[in-house]
Amino acid sequence: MNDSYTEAHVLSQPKVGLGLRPIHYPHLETRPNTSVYWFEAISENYMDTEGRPLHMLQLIREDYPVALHGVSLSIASTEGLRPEYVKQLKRLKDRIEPWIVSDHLCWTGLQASNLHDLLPFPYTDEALTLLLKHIDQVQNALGCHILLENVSTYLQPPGSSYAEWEFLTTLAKQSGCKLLLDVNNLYVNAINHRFDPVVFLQAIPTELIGQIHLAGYTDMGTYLFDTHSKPAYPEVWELFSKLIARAPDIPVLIEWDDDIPEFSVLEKEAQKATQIWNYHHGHTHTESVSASIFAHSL
Amino acid sequence: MGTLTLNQYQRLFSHTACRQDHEAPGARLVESITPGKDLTSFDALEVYRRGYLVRLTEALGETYEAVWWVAGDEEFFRLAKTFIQCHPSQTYNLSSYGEVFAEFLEKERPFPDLGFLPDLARFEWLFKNIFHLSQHEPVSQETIQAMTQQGNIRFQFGPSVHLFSSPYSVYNTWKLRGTCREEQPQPDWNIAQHLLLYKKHQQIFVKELQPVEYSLLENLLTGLSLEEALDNSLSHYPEMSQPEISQLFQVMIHTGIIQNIEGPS
Ligand SMILES: [Fe+2]
Repeated sequence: MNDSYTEAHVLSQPKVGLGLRPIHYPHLETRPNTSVYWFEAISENYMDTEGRPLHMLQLIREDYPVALHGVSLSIASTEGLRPEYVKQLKRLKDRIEPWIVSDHLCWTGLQASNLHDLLPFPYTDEALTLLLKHIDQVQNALGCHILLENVSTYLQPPGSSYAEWEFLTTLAKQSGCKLLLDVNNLYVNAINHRFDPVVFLQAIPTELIGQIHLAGYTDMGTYLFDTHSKPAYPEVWELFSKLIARAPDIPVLIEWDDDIPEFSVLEKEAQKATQIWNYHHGHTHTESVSASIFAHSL
Repeated sequence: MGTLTLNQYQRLFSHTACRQDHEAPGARLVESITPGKDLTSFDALEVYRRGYLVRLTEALGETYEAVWWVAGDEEFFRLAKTFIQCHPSQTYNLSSYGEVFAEFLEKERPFPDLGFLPDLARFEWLFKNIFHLSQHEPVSQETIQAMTQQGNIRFQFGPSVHLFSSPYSVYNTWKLRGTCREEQPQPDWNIAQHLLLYKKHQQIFVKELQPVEYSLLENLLTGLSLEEALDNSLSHYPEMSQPEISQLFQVMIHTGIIQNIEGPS
């Protein structure tokens, strides 16, 4: 082991964050001590407001790093970007000074009928060319790199010439943006579209990953549905463990958007991620702790 | 069948996800997609169509909570579905969806005996907008008192300060949302309400005004000077008395709605 590796290894620490949700504002307004390293805010909830949400985000920003995570960029839309959206996002970015700005690798509908969903598109050279142009436009307008997240899908559009992981890797390498790797979405797609999640995980070079998401899905019987309404499943924790073992410095975020529990329950989820990080990179290896997470997190 | 371009695929997909119940999904799309896990192509597309309806209904329900309370679940969901089918979302921000819901209710008249529903919807849309407006710093009581000695002054109000009036008891009805509908006695909808909405300490307050106070404040909010506003209101309410005017000024001071005062030029 060389010296620089040792130094980096010692200086690393788990960077586990939580999604900022209005239901927790009353708790967070009291500025409690938390075990949270950072918060992720849904950009759209704060970019068109001068009211309490913005006030709350600014308060959080005084104490924590904040990521702005959008759902409406619609970067894969053939109609192009909405200039007013990008302008509002830039304004929010300048106000908050986030450490990460991200959105999803998808389109969300047409401008005349927005579906407000994270929609699948075929992984083709046509899409790749379009995305490279749009990523360049957004990054220039914002004056920073963005991260794009892999989304859960329930169908595969016609005409793909790349596997999802090949497309993500090619896009990140060619555009200069990084990936927000949602391990839950990866697993959901692996089951829905019948591929080996480990193949996907190992195909993505860790230097292309700028952030990780963890969340829970709902098993609908005929498919897995990305609901963010439960703790992450053991299979997702196992994939996360494999990933974080290779990349200790990537920030990790626990997502929970439906049936949101008390803040302390989310903190416990975050602690699970920290325990797994410690298992791989901490001073003491606690194999039994890690094993118990995989066994009891259902 | 030739390969779809990305643009053709997105148009087909979008049309299918927004289609009405009786319409079949586009055959070209159904035949070309690969459904996930054990779904059929039709059901895979239904996941997206259902999700679209659910998300937009939720957005309407969040903004129009009191309309929902009055209408009840079944009727509100029916109204929301009809509204969504004739008004696709053109906004990027889901929480801004439903601006014309009041006009839709006006036209639809789902309950002929509940004529106040469009006004209730208008009140809720205004309330939502005020929530996102900035909180101003009110001028001090001392400044107000000193300036009012100077004669014909003009008031500048905070951006969150708005008036709302209705021939119906919109605010009283709105306050009932969240309570159990069955346990509430039938409210008397037919009482006119004149309301002042404003923000203080990042919270929205609603204050009921007398018609004469409302008239004077409405004139001041349009930018008329104090003298002009008094003249205008007196022409509509010749019986307006000094105590009523003083009472309104007490309200203006107490609520902190004044952001600035301009002296006579
Ligand atoms: Fe995610």
